[in-house]
Amino acid sequence: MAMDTATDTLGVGVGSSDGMLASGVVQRVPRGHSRLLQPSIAFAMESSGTGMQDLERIGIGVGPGSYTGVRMAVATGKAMAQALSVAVVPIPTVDAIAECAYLAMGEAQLGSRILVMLNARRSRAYGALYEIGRGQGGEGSSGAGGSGEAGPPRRLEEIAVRRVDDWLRQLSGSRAAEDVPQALRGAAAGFGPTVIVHDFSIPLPSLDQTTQPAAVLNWRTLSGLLPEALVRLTASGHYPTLTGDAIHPLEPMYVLPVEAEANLGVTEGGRSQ
Amino acid sequence: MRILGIETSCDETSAAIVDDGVHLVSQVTATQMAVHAQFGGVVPEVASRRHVVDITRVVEQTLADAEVTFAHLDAIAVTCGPGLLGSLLVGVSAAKGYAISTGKPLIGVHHIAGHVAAATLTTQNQAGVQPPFLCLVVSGGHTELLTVDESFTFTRLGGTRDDAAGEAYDKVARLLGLAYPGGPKVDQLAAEGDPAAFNFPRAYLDDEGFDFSFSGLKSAVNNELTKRRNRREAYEVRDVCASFQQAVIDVLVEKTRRAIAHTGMSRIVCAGGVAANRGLRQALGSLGQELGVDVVFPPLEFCTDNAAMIASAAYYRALHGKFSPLSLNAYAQLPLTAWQSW
Ligand SMILES: [Zn+2]
Repeated sequence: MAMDTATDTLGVGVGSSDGMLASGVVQRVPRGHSRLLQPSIAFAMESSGTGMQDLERIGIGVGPGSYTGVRMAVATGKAMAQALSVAVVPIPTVDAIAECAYLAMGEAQLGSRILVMLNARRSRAYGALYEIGRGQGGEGSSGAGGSGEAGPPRRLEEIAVRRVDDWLRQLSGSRAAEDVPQALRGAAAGFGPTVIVHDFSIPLPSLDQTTQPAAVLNWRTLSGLLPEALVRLTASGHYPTLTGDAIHPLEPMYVLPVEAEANLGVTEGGRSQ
Repeated sequence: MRILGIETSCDETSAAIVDDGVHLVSQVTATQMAVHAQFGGVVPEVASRRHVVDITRVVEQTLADAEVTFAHLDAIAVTCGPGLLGSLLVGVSAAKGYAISTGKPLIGVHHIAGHVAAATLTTQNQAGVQPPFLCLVVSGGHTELLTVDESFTFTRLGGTRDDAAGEAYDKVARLLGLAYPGGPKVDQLAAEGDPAAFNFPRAYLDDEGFDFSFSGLKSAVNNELTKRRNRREAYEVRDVCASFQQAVIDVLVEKTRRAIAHTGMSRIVCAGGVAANRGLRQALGSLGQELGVDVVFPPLEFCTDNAAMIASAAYYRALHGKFSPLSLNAYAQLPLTAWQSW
């Protein structure tokens, strides 16, 4: 069973260890996650004829995203895993979103890269850039430029928070943003066009002409695939499997510090000088 | 009946197992006091983040201390409001996670009902009391006056219209430059000061009601301090503390006196974190002697926020077959009467 509550979409999926979805629930009720998560889990479990004792692992979307939202899945999933003595698989929400885009494109695969951007307020976005693998290359393979079959998206960097402008500039090799890792700058030249997935309710700032995305998709149009993506990633073996005491320290991927903590850091730094 | 209680409404992550509403089997509380002290007050987002990390470990230790597993529990109880929404949601989410995976019934508990139920808990040193009684709940977040009948049904007489008593303490402590959490320090200094040094206002509001108001008192202290500082007049911090505390206590005691007359109750319970306040204990003790009523203070460990009181309050809900659905939500604001009617 896998769940995610980090965005405005609540997703719960129940499936088998080969990544096949058996039952999924998607809810997009504003401020509804806190009420609907556990009933959705119960419904997906019952619908698929899965008993709690049948569970082998619990996939938990760990964000980044809405702080309050993401904590619901993390707290619920940790408690369930503890009570059932099963493993927890933490799944970055942006990875699940990239997987949704990949599933949506199917054979068509509009681009060779996927950029996920989630609204982090103040013109910033949480996100990551993915390449759609050619042939199931391992970690060492560059995966780019090959002409084999499309494989699942592979994240090219750590999940980060950047200004939306910087994310978009990153796509155009000519004007790379300052804080974009060197390895990624100019990489655009060697790749095909990028599919951008975002959850901004306002239109994105005008896309740089040289960016030429293959498509710009709102998360809303893809989020129906969240249960399947979560089940696939939980079964993928690409993420840590936490059991026993290792479950306790699991917390959401916040990326941004709490403002009060950040301010305290600044003050202390100022004093020490 | 064995109930696991969970409380995360503010800055304590607490879990407890209580048998039949009165016998504490085990309790583990992870306090975040030191974390928030550096900010001079509870930072909600920081509190929520800590709860997520601490919740399963605290529950695990509570079960281990009691030498039981989830299978031995009869119900899972959790504070569902009022409190800090983000903090409450961690506890409620975890409790629902436990309930759904074990099939045990879920009981959402009102935080104030928990503070009241603390009086029924029995420890080695102190036997719990059973209702009916009149209850004055005073804490950092609440000031409530209510009655509790034999079936553990509450009737609210009144409560604060603005700041809670404990909140006023913390704000005055801040005005005086005392480190967070300042409430207990004000109490400490008050013991050495002159309660008549300053004549701070007593807000009794209308004569009939049982509502409180403490924000005017806090402003009066602020005005007095500003005036003195502007005139470069010296003042004794302990005298300010003592005079402020006397004003708070006079109001609390007067309202309690009226409530006793109004309800005819022969027992008062004073619960909540501010029940640890020595000045208040003395004043209510004197009131009890004067009127010939029994004054009860729950053990201090059950006065500050804790999960045992939540498990205890849940027991009375369970007795009435009042369980919560998996759609139980968390509420920053939750009137006691609304919760009671669930
Ligand atoms: Zn409290």
